[in-house]
Amino acid sequence: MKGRLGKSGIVFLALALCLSITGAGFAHWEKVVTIDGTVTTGTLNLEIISAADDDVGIDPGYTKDVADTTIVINPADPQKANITITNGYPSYEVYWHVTVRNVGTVPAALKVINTTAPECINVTAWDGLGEQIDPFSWGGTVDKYQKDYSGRIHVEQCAEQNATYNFTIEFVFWNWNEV
Amino acid sequence: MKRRLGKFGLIFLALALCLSISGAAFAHWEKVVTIDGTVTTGTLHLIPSGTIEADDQEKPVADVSCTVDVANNTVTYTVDNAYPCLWVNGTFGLENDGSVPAGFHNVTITTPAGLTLVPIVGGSEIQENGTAIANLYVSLVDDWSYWVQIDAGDSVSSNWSLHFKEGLAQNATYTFTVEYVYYNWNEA
Repeated sequence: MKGRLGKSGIVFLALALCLSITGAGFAHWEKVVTIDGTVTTGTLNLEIISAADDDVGIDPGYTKDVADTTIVINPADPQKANITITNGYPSYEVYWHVTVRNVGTVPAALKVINTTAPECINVTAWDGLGEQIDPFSWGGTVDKYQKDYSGRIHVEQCAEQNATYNFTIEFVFWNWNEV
Repeated sequence: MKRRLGKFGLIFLALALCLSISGAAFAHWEKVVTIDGTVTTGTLHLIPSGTIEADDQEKPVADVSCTVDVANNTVTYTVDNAYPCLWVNGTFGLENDGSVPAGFHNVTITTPAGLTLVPIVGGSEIQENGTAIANLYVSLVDDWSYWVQIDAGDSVSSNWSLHFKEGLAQNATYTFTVEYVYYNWNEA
């Protein structure tokens, strides 16, 4: 093609192309209709608002006050609570209770409860898997925006004397529509 | 497949797979409410104690001693040169220096072959092949409930007396063992 058009032919072709493009730019009128959008997302947030245990003096099920249990909400991070059992002994058991409130803006549902504990400490937590908790800001009856959860800690026979054992209970909440 | 997709095809497929996995991982919001816990256990520990004295009426003939091995929770009473009508008196005590109550589980008395304990009023008669060789009397300083359970920090004690009788053999040696077993009180 280069051989057939020659230099002048190529320059002419380039000019024609430029003009055609420029010509197209001016060849129509234009009006743009715009839709701007904003999405603000909600929040998934839950807090422990109360915590209690049933060892309030005499050890549960017994006649003496030997072991002690306390459960406190972390004031700096109310998504956490801490249970402390002192002077535990084999067969000591205590039940704990927490109330969790949805302080976010989207409903939450309990996806799973994870517990980790050493061999000689039996930790259980229940229940309400799949139950939904609506945001507190929505109002309504109290059972809609907060739920009670309980569990039991039992010191097993294999527990050593003068030992320290740690355990963890996790309540994993998801946005309600994906549980 | 590699031949048909080429390098770019494979890279594209890998990217798509990664994105799909990432998409699944970010497909929900999650909030975890955590309860951390700590259990510290107490201790069960008893310290034994004991004393002994011979009630020789006029002459110090018998030789008695008592040793307490705290590490092994053992009290050893020894009576040497005993003779008929000799009275030997002693004490035995337990102190709970642990942090949980101790509950009495059982007691095991081991005696040499031929020796038996026969209950009598206020104690036991020790017989050797049917012949009475001594009487043993035990009295608790406090009531029985203290022996059933000993709370942390509490102590219990008992007095005992051994009265050797006419049937006691000469130049003989008798050994015995009394073993008290305590559990944590709630499982005794």
